[in-house]
Amino acid sequence: MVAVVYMLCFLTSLACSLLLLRGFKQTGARLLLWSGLCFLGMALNNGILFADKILWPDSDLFLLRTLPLVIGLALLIYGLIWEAE
Amino acid sequence: MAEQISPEVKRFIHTTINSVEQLEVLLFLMSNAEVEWSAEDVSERIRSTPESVKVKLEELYAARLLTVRREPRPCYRYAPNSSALAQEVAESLDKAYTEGKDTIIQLIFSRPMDNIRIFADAFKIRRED
Repeated sequence: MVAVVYMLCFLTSLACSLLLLRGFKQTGARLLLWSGLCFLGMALNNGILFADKILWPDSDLFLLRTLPLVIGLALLIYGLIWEAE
Repeated sequence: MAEQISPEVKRFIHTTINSVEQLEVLLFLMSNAEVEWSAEDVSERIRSTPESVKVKLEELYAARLLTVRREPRPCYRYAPNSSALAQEVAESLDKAYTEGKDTIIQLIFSRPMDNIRIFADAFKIRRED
C-alpha cells in the first residue's frame, strides 16, 4: 500500500511537470518553465523516495532525494518573485 | 462595443497579446507576410524602438505566430502555427483593429489574471483549437 502511494506521488508529479513544460513550449510563459521544473524536482524526490523506502530499505538516500526537491522549490520561488511582470 | 468582437478574437487577445505594441507588430507582419523583417525594419515602420520591437518579436515567435531566421541577423516572418492563430481569426482581428481600435485596446488592458490562467490552462490535457 505504501509503495502504491509513493508510486502515485511520483507519477502525479511527473505528469504535472510534463504538462507544465508542454505549456511552456507552447506559450513561452516562463512561469510554466519554473513550475514545471519544480514539479520535476518533486517527481525526482518521490522517485528516489520510492527507491529509498521500497527497493533499498537498508540504505539512506535522504540527501539524494531532498536535493532535487530543494532545487525545484528554489527555481519556483525564483520564477514567482523575480520573473513576475 | 466589446460584444461586437468575436469570441475567438477576444480569446486570442486574452491569451496571446499583452500590449498594443505587440499587436501592432503582429498586424504589420501579417499584412507583409511575404517578406522577412528585422527588428530595426519593423521599428521604423511602426515608430517604436528596435529594442522594444525585438522583445515583442521574440514573444510572438514563442507564441508560434512567426518564424525566424537567425543568421546573419534575426529576421522574422508571419507564419502562424494553425493552433496558434487560425486564418479567419487573424482576418477578424485585423478588421476589428481597423474598425474599432479603442475597443481592442480596452480588451488588451482588461486581460484577466494572466499568470494564474496560463498556469491553469497548462493542465488542460486536450487543447481547444
